[in-house]
Amino acid sequence: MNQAPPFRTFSRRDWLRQTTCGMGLLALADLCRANTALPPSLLAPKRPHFAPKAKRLVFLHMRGGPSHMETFEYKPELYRRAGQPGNGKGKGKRRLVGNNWNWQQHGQSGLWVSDMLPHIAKHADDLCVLSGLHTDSGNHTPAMLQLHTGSFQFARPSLGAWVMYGLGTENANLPGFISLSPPIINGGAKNYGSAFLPAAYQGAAIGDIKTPITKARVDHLKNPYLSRTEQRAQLDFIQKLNQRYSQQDPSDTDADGVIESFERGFSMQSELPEIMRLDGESKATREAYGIGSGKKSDNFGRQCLLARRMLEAGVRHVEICDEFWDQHGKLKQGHGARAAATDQPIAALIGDLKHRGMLDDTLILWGGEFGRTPDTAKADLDGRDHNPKGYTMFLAGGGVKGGFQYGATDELGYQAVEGRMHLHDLHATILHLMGLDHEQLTYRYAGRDFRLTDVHGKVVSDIIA
Amino acid sequence: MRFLLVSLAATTLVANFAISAPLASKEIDFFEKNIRPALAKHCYECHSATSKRIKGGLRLDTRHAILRGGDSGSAINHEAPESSLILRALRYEENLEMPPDGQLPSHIVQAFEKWVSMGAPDPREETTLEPDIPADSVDELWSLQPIAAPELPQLANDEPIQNPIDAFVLEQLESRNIPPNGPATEHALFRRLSFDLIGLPPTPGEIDSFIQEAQRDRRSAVERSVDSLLASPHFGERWGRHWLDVARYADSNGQSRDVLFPHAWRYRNWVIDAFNEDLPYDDFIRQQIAGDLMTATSNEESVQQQIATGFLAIGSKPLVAGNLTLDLIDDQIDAVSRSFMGLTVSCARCHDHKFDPIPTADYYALGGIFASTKTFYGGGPKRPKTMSEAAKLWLPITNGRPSAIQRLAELEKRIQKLTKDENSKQKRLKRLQKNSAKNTDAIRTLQQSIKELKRERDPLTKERDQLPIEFAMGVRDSGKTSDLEIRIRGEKSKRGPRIPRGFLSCIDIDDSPEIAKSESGRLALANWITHPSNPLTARVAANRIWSHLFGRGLVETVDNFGHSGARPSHPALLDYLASSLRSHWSVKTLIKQIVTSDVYQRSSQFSAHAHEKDPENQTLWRFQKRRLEIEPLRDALLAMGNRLNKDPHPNSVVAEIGEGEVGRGINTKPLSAPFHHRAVYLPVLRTAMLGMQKTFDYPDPSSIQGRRDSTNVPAQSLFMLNSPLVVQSATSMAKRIQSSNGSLDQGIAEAYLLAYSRPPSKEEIGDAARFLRSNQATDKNTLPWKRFCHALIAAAEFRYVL
Repeated sequence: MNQAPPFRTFSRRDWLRQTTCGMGLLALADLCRANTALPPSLLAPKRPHFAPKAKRLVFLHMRGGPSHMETFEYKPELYRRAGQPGNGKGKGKRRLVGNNWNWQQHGQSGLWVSDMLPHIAKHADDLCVLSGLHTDSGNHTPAMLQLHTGSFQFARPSLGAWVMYGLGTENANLPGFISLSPPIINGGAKNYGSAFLPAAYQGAAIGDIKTPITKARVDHLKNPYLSRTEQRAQLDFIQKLNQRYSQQDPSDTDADGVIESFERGFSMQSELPEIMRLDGESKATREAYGIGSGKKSDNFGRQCLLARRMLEAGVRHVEICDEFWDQHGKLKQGHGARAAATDQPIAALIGDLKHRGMLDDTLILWGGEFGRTPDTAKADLDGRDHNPKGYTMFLAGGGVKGGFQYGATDELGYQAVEGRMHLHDLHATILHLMGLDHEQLTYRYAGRDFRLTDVHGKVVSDIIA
Repeated sequence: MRFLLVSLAATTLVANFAISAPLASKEIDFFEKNIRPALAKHCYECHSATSKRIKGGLRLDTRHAILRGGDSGSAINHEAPESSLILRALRYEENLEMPPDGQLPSHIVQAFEKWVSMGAPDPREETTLEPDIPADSVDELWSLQPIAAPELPQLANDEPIQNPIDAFVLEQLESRNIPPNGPATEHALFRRLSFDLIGLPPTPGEIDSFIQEAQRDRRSAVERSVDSLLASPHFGERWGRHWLDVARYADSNGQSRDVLFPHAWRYRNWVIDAFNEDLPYDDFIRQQIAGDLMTATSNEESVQQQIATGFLAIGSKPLVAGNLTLDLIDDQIDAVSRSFMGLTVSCARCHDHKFDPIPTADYYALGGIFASTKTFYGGGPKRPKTMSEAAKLWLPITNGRPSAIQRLAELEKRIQKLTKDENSKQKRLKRLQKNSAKNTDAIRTLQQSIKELKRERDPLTKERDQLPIEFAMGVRDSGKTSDLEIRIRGEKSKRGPRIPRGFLSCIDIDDSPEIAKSESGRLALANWITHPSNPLTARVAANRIWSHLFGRGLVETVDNFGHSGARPSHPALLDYLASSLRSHWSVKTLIKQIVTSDVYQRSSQFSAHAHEKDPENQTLWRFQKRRLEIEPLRDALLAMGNRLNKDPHPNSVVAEIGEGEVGRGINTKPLSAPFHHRAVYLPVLRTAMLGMQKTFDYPDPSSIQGRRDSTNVPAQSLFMLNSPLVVQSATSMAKRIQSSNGSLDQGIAEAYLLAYSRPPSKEEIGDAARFLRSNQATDKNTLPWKRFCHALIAAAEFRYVL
C-alpha cells in the first residue's frame, strides 16, 4: 500500500518528493531539461494497474434521489399495501405509497422497468441494475459529497479527480474531467474538486444547473488582442516566469497547478468551442437525443450529446447533472417531469455509444445520491422522503453484465437486504473497471496514504461481465 | 478528535487486516458457529445498532465496529491478541467484566480466544460511518474549558524573545527540532503587510520609503507602517470583508425566490466602519445580536446599533417553501452560534447533537429568543408599494424623529386620497373635452379643482420625500414573548415540551445574565456570549484573526470548535491570544501584536530539512504562501493601472436597482455598468454571482464560511489570459510605465515593482528585455509593453502573498 502507483510518467514534483535532497537534484533536473519548455505533464496518460474494461466514465447524475420503487425495483407487495401504515422510521404516522406507473419486463433478460422510463427500458439488456446500494447520509449535501468524494465529513478528492490522477487524460487540449451544469449548492465545486490532490486533477465546470446548456459559456475563451501565435509567444514567457517562481519551492504544488492550468486553458480556447458546437450533428441524431426547441428533453438531450462528443474527443470523465428528483410531495408529477426530461436523451446516449462501438469501453453510471422511502407522512400519499438505506443505480457498458439486476431491498423497499453494496463498494468497482486497484490508488497527504474508499470498499465481481 | 483518533487507529487495523487473504470458509464457519451466536445472545443488547443506548460507545455487530472499538479503544489487539480488550472483558480481568450479569461459560470464552488468535475473521461486512459515539461530555471538549492565561514557555535556546507569540511557536519548533526560517525580505514583508491589512498592493513610492526606513531600523519601520495601515480607511474594507464571509452577507435572498435586499448595504458599511473604528469586539458582537436594545448616547449611535442587527436579517430564507418561521429562526441560531462561538448548534434542531454536548432543548431555548423577535427583511415576493408599507417590511431608520413613521402614514393616506380624487376628475375632464370642442364652464371648474388638488398634494409629497426615514435590514423585539416547544425530529407538527428561553447548558457562567419575562432575551444572550467566562467567544475570534494572517487557523476548522472540528495546533498560543483579546477586545491591537512577531515575518522559502520534518508547516517554521482572494486580486488589478476608485461606494448597485427579484424583470443595467470601487462594494446576488467571484473561490454567501478555498483551475488561466479586466489593466499599466520615460531596464523594474512589489533580478531583467525586444518595443509602441505587463499579471507570483 505504501508503494507509489506504478505510473509511467513522473512529474518533476513526484521525482523531487521521492528524493531526500531536493534542491541539488532540482538543479540537475533543470540542466536535463534545459531545452524543453515544460516539465512532464501531470495529466499525461498513465498506465493503469491492470487491463481496464472501461476507458471512459460518464455519470448521469439524477440529483435529489430518484425512487427505486418507481423505476427499476418492482415491488408488488408495496403497491398492494398502499395506504397501510409503514413500518420504517416514524412508525404510526406514515403510510405506504403505492404505484403510479405500469411495470413490464423488458428485453431478452426480462428486466423490470417501469413505464416512467420507456426509452431506457429499450436498452434493458445493456443495463446492470444495482438495487442493493446503501449510503451513510440522508441529507442532500452530505450524501452528494459522499457520492462524489467518498466522504461527507472531510474535504476529499472527487471520483473524477482520482480517475485523472490514476489515468491522466487522452486529450491534453480538453479538460480530462468535465462537469456539465453542476449545481452551485449541495457542496458545489467540492463535488468535482481535487481537494489535496494536485489541482490539475479537478473537474472543469461548464455552466451551472440554473443555466440552460445553450447559454452555458466558458468565459474568456478568446483573447481580444493577440493572434494565437502571438499569444503562444506570450504564454511561453508567462510559463518561464512561472517556472522560475516554481523552482524556488519544490514543495509548492500550487505553482505546478498554475503552469498546468495555463496549458489547459490555452488549448481549450481552440478545442472547446469546436466540441460545444452541436450543429454539425445530423438532424436524426439531434432528434434521437430529444433535442428541439420546446421539447422537455431539449436541455438534457443537448448535454447527453455533448457528453458523447466529449468522450469521443478523449475526455476521461464527464458528469451531467439533472435538476431535482426530490419529490417529498407531488411525486407523480415531479418524477414524471424528470423522466420526460432525461429518459429519451439517456437512451439515445446508450444507443449512440453502442452504434459507435464505444459502449464496450465506456462506463455509464446513472442515479442519485440516495433513494426514496416506501412511505410518506403526506395525506395524499403522493410523495416519498429520503432513503439512504436502500436504493438503485445502474451501470451500463464498460465491462459490466447487461440485462442484470444485482441486489434488492426488502419487499417494501426500506433497506437493501440482498447484494448489499455500499457506495465505497461502488467506487471500488468503478475504479476496478477502469483498471485501477482502489487500494493501490493512494496519495500521501499529511503523513497518511489516502484513497477514494478510505479504509472501505470491496470490488463486487458479480456484476463484472 | 477522539473520533478521528479512533478512526485512525481503525485505519491501521483494517489496513493490516485487508492485506490478509480473503476469509477461508473454515474461518467463516468457526465464526458463524461459535462467535456470532454468542455475540448476538450476550452482547448485542448493549453493543449493536439496535441497542437502545450503545454502552461505552462500543458496537460488536460489524467487523469494522469491533475493530474501531469504543471509548476504551479497539476491542481487538492484533499485535498482542491475548490482551485484546474483548478477551480481558470476557475473562473478567481487572475492572472489565462483560457481560455484566455473569461470566460466560469457559468454552465460549475459549472460543473467543481461539477466534482472536485466528486474526478475528469476521464476515460481517456492513460498514457505516455513522459515528455511534455518544456526544462528548462538557469535560471532554477542549474548547469548553476555561481560557487559561498560559505562562510563557521556557525555551532551551536562551535567545531573548520580544514577542510572547514567538515563545509559544518556538517551543514547538524546538521540541520537534525544526529550524525556523529567517525573516522575509523587506520587499516581501511589506507586500504581505499591505495585502493582509488593507488588501491593496503598496505603491512604488510607499515601497521606496519603507525600504529606506527599514534599512535604518527594520523594527521601527515595520511598526510605523503597521500603524499607518491599521489607521487607513482601507483596513475596514479588507477586514470587514472577512467578517462578511462569516456573516453570510448578500444583497439578495437566494434560493428559489431571489428577492433583492436593496438595504443590506447599510449593514455592510456598518461592518466596515466597525473595523475602521476598532469597535471593541464584544460590542461588535453585542450590537449585531441586540443593538436595538442597547442604550445609545446619541441618535446617530442608536441608528448604527439598529443597523448592526442586520446580521440577523440578511440570511437566505425559503420564502415560498419550507417553514419560514422556524427556518428563519434556524438561520439565526446557526449564525449566532457558529460565527461567534464556533458551535454547530443547529445540528440539534432534530435530535441531540451527535458529537457535542448540545441537547435539542438548548436549541429550542435559543429558538424562543428569536421567536420573540421580529425580523425585517423586506416583503419577500410581495413587495411594498408605498413608503409606509415599506416601513413595515424593512427596518425604518428615522434619524432622531420616531414620530416620522406616524407622520408618513398620515401623509400617504392623504396623498392617496388626493391622487384618487384627481384621477377621477381627470377622467371626467377627458370625457367632457371629448364631447365639446370648446371650454365650457364645467371644464374650467374641473381644471381649476384639479389644479387645487395638485396644489394641496405637492407640498405633502415633498414633505413625505423629505421625511428623515431610511430603511435598513434588522430586527426588533416583537413585543410578544414566546417560548418554543421542542419539535420532535424537527417536524413542525410534532410538539414536545415547551422550553423556557435560555442559553447553552454546556457553558456554565456564574453570574449569567437572566432573561426577563417581557424581553426576547437577545440582549441577555449577547451579554452571555460576550461574558468574560464564556470560553468560546474570545478563542473563536482570536483564531479567526490568526487565520486571516496565516491562511490557516490555529484551529483549522475556524467555524467549528466542537468535537468534529480540529484541535488547536498550538493550544497555549490560542489561549494566550484569546486572553489578550478578552482583556482589551481591540482587534487592531491583536493584529498589531501578531504581525510584529517573528513568526509572521518569517520568509516563506522552502527548506528541504524543515519540509521533510513538517511538510504541512503545522509548526509554522515558515510563512505559508497563499493565494490572494478575489477582492484584493481584482482591486490590485485596478490599482496597478491607476484605475481603482478608492472612495467608499455610497450605497450599493442593488440599492440603485431598488425593490425587485433576480430573474423577474429587474433593471439589470446598473449591474453591468463599469464599477471601479473596491470589490467589497460589488453586489452579491446569491443566485447570480459574478463570473469572477465564482472562478476565484468566492464563498457560498448563503452559508457561514470563515475560511475560503483556494483552488486552481483552467478557468482562472483563461481569466488571466483573456478577460477584459486583465487586458485593460495591462494596457493602463503599460501606459503608466511608458509615461515615466525611463530606459528599458527602468521600465522593467517599474513593472516588477507594480506587479510584485519587488525589483527584478538580473536574469529577470534579461528575460524581460529579450521578450520586449522580440516584440519590437519602442518608445512609441505600447503593444509590447502591454504584452509584457499582461504576462507579469498573469504569472503565478502576482496571485500569491509570499
